[in-house]
Amino acid sequence: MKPEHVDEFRAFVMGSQGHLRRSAYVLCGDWHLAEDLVQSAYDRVFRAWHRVRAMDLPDAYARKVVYRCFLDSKARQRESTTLDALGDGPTAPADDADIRLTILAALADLAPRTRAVVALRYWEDQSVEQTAAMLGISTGTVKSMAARGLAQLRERLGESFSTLLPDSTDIR
Amino acid sequence: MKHTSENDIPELAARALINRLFDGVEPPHRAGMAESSITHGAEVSRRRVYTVAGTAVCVLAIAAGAVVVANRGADNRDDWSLVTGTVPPTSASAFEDQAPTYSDKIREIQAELPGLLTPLLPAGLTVRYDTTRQGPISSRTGDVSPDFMVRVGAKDYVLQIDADNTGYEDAFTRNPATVPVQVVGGTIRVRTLPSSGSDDGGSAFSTWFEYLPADTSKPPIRILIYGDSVSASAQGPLDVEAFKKLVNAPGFKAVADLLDPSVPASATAVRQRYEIETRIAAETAWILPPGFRLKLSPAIPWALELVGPRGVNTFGWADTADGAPDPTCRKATLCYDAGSGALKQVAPDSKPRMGRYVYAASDGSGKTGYLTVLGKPALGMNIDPAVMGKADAEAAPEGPGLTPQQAMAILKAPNLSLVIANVERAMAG
Repeated sequence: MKPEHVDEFRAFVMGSQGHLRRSAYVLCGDWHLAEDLVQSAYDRVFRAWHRVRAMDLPDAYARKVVYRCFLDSKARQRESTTLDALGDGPTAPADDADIRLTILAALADLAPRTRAVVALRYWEDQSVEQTAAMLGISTGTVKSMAARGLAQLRERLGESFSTLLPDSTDIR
Repeated sequence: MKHTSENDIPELAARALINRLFDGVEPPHRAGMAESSITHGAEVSRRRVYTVAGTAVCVLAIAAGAVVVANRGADNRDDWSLVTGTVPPTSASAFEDQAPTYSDKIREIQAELPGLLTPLLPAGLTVRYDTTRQGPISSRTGDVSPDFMVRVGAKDYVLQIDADNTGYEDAFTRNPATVPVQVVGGTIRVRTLPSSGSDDGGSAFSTWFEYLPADTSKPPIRILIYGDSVSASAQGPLDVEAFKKLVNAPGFKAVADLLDPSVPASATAVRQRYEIETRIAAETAWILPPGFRLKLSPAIPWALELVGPRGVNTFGWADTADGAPDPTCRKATLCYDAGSGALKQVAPDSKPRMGRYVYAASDGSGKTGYLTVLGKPALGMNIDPAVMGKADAEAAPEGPGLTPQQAMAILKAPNLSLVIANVERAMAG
């Protein structure tokens, strides 16, 4: 690979790392695992960099790889580790750390593919069609998974749900 | 108005909910992600080239009837370079403790106890955790008795949470024996004894406190407070009446739960460990050899562990400016001590070792660096005190240590002192 292309890749990592790491954190709920996930994605992106760099939106490709890496790892591993093991219940959260843990525990209860759909739709603001294309599933499946995921979150969070929203949230 | 539908969560609420995950401070980013992928990618390409080239060479050799003689390799006695091309990238989850650890529990006690205990004490007494105090470790069980400071006015006393009942029965059964006092949910005993004398010649004391729950499935709570007495008669800051009030107070249950060893550390404590380890990883990524990282020991609350591809080692490091460490170890040479205390010069033989590596700089700075790479936490009469801890708290396999080349790379790294100081700061929270 040409040195200037390697430099381009470095710049790409610098610019995309922050958001991808957050996306991976929403998916797996652990900063260490999130960075492992992003690292695996960058490994794949680098190996295909000669093609990726020519794309209009290399960030979108990298995001797709992160989500695919997450689903691949879940398919191999089946069970999530940290959050499931911690098993926090829906008690009233006291501070920011508790709020994070409560939300992460609720997300961790979703099946991996449902979690990916919820993250893409409501964290990445992807449309139903974009989500379907990214995960390789039908738009109907995206809609039903999104609805089921939100309902499960609501059920899992129980009474603590309203306390988890920022005070400024104005939703009717 | 917040949404409170019984059936589902509207999309905007879902966005707001997920966004809350990022309300707090995020751990620093892992360093060198791009370089790791570039190295990894280059290695994959190299393997492909070698596979193709190797196949071609075999075909030619068979055709020519040639005999291939393996290259035994050049003498590497002066080669201190690290072989990095074939080392897999460091995985942050390798040998990581996913569940709450013993050390998490101790760190949580150190962080939370002052806030829970101070409101239960008589006015004017405050409890604080002093990060310079580690507390003793039981040689029988490996349990830590965390130390705190109790302040009354300008005077400090040591408050120690007991882990293995050392000395308590002796104190309570001294003539006349201490009579238990009934309190809510159990009994207490309090005994103050004069000590051998304070540093300034005044009187000193030790006060032993014990709470024995009536429910025998609950653990006893034992606390020792000691220091120099303010009066001529050896007297501590807390008497039996004050301890009785403390135990009867509604807030005491939270103290008892915190100190109960059967209650694991909270999820928050585990998260805090991850955040500390993320900060440590960011500080040390460029100074450690490829394939290694540092994590907090699950068995010794103030210790680090070196995580390598094959397992973990209890790890310590220091960088001093006090000149030559030992007359037998010359400047600008790497010396090694397997545990006998005798340093010997070591060559770059690529053999991983456990023990102590020492390197004295020859640049006029007078700096000497020390690395201790030891076994897993253990108990016993003959073990190194640096590895004494909760032996069963570390389930990962024991690593083989560091090679001289790896040790040299760490010890010769620029700004080693700064990295060590930053890691200590991260560990102190």
